[in-house]
Amino acid sequence: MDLERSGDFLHASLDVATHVFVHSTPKFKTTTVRVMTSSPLDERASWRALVPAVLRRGTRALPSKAELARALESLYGASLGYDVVKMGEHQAVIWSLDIVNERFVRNRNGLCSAGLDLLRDVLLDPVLESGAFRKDYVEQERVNLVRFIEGLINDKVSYAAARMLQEMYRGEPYALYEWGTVESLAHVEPEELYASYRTWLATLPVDMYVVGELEPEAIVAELAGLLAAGRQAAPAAAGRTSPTPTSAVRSCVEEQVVSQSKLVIGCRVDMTAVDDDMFVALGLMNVLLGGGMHSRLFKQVREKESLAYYATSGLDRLKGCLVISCGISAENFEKARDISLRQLEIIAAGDFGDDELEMSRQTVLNRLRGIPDHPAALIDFLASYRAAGRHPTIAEIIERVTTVSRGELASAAQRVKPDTIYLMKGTASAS
Amino acid sequence: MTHPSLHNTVGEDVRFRLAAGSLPVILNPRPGFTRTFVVIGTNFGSVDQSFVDPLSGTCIEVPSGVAHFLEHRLFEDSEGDVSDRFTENGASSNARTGFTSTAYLFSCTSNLASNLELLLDFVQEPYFAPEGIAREQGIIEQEIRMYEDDPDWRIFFNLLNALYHVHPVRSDIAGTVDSIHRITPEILEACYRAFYHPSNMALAIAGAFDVEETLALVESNLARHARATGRPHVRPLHPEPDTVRSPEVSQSMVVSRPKIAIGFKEVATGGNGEDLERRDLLSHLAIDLALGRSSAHHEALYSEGLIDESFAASYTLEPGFGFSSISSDTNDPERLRRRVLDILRSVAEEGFSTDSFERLRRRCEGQYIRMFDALDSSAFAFLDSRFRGVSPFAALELLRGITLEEVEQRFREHFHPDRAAVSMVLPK
Repeated sequence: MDLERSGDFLHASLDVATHVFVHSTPKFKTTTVRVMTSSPLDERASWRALVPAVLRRGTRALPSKAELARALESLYGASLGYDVVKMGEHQAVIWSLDIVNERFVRNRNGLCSAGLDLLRDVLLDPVLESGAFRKDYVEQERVNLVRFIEGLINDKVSYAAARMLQEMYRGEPYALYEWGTVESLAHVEPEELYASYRTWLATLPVDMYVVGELEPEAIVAELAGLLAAGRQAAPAAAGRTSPTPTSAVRSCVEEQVVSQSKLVIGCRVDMTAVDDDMFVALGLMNVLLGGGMHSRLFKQVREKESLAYYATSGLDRLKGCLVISCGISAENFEKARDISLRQLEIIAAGDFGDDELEMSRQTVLNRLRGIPDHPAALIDFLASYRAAGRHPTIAEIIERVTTVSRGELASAAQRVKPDTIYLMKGTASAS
Repeated sequence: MTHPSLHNTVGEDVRFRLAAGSLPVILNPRPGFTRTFVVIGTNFGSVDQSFVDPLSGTCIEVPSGVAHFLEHRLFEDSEGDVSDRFTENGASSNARTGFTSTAYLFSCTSNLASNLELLLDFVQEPYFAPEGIAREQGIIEQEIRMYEDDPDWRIFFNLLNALYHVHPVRSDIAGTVDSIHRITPEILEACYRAFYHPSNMALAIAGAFDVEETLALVESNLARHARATGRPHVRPLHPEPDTVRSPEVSQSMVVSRPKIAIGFKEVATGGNGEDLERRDLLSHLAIDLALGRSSAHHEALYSEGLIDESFAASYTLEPGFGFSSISSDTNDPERLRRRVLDILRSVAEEGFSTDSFERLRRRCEGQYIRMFDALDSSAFAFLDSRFRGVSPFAALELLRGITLEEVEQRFREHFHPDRAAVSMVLPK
């Protein structure tokens, strides 16, 4: 098995669509494993989110949640779970296994292998009934997922952001909630779900990441056994990032009986011909705009005008979407909106201070330099760049961040155009 | 001069020192790490609403939300916002207020010396300009409104309100819109005098740093500041009955389905640090054995669709107060309440198996060890254990020696039917 450097990891290709990335270090007490698959966002998103929930209900050897939990407890409290996230126009399912390094506990050899065996059983050897997923497990998890999707409204900040995206990207895959829709979960036959799962196992591209005190060749060999043999997977397809040109900025106001209103502004970012330098400049521009207490949004909307408790911005460089979010009082909507948009114009014109530029730069550098201290951060760093077709080391990105100029930041901001303004207007009376 | 390391089995080099004869400092150098995480805390939180003012010698009462307000205000000094200076120095800073402590922290990968000086300076040099206070009231009012809309925050504080008659743990940590408007510079100064002195505080440092250099910096910084004196704060006992104030409380909010939190009031809240640590550990194990993911009861409730992954069971214990909370989203809160109370009753009679106990003990050990991977959680563990008066590794040591009988006894003591309250959030 050939291992070559890829960013700060060693990389092995098990086949054209199955990759392993290993980072060996003695500095953690935990072995951290992530198994990621991704698919384009489409109407099957909810089924792909449902399958892990059903797999988590039990394996052939441990056919219930409680038995699976007991096995994990016996492995010194190993954690085994999954998450579903949006990565550009893709939906990624990320399995995680975190297990204590056996060096710290008594009477235990082969702890990591035992954990990987359990993960393999969960992924490949689920408990079945008549050759398909158990009917009761599928139905219970279908209901749980429906309730979970309906529960988005409980978190007003996330709900407002999701509503804004639905309006802004109406008709495009990016508008879809990464966990899917309630409608697509109306009828789920266990046989159909199982058949889909078998297809996905065989055909989806998979990336596996491991961080811990390990022998790279040995761990690659173990991870090779984590997936079904003879896969016919194709490499991941890139998502579309070309923006649909828009003319006028859209507005959308919805009322909710809440105390704090939520202002969410969606902007399209032109990602055409973005080289490595501009990719980094875009990230730094977002930090200057709304990525911390030094940022323009925090200073102008919150500190100076006391209009908001929070005022931040987030940037998805895979899709080319920048989102400004503020928690405000309804009567301050227009002022908060105008001041927020003004900050973007100011940056695009290059009218920001050297001190602001340096503080943004230091914020990003501090974050980057600290990544090697967190196993999950190391993995996230490579995975998110990889999704953009890039495989840098942390040192390379640090170098680029150090040299980003005022002009490059302004150019980055010039690629950003406001598209949709969403307001969740709070109608609860002041207490 | 080297400072001996605290013995532990997680492979960490942890040392203790009383800097300038007054400030407890816990140091955890880690070769191979690039970050340094620093947190300084004071033993003063949202429950401290009445205390003796050292200046006048009289007992004063302050509005709820003062500890949190003070946390916000300390971030501004005569030159402006301190967090900006941290950012210029390449550090990220933050602060948090809890029931019994307030903590100020930063993490950095460079310029440790200037960041540490900045932290120690701003915490020791309060500046309470009136115009700053008015502005802060506006910001905190927004923060309070944000929490008002959070169903998980509301269900929890409503539960505390139902459990407690008078104890200040029932007050919202940030206070209310009304209470924060009653905060004056004089009140902030009195709180600062009473609580912000080195013997009532602690400093924890974890990550990439040199022990001797860093200690020398801390000591000379302390020496440069006016020597504030005082004794570690001892919380007064509140005339809080064993009974709950109200068995049930309910609030309507914009949520997709009902939420329920069943809580029990702890009455065994006395003893020294080691007593509390032991009781805390036993209570956590007891709850996990009864209703954790590996329990038959959890599986039953889950399969019936009465609970889902939002289910959580927690336990909190401080000198003078404690409580458990068992919560979940559920379509049938009444039925879930009955089932949980039935389960708790039957567990009190049946106890637990030795196998389950040994498994949970192992899980607890592994998760405890892994907690020390992160600089942040390690530093907070050092701080919290200092305020509790135990070694940061006390729990791990106690874990080895506790017995199943002790866990079962603790379970029966805590989950008393007369001390239960239920908090619900229902869809509008």
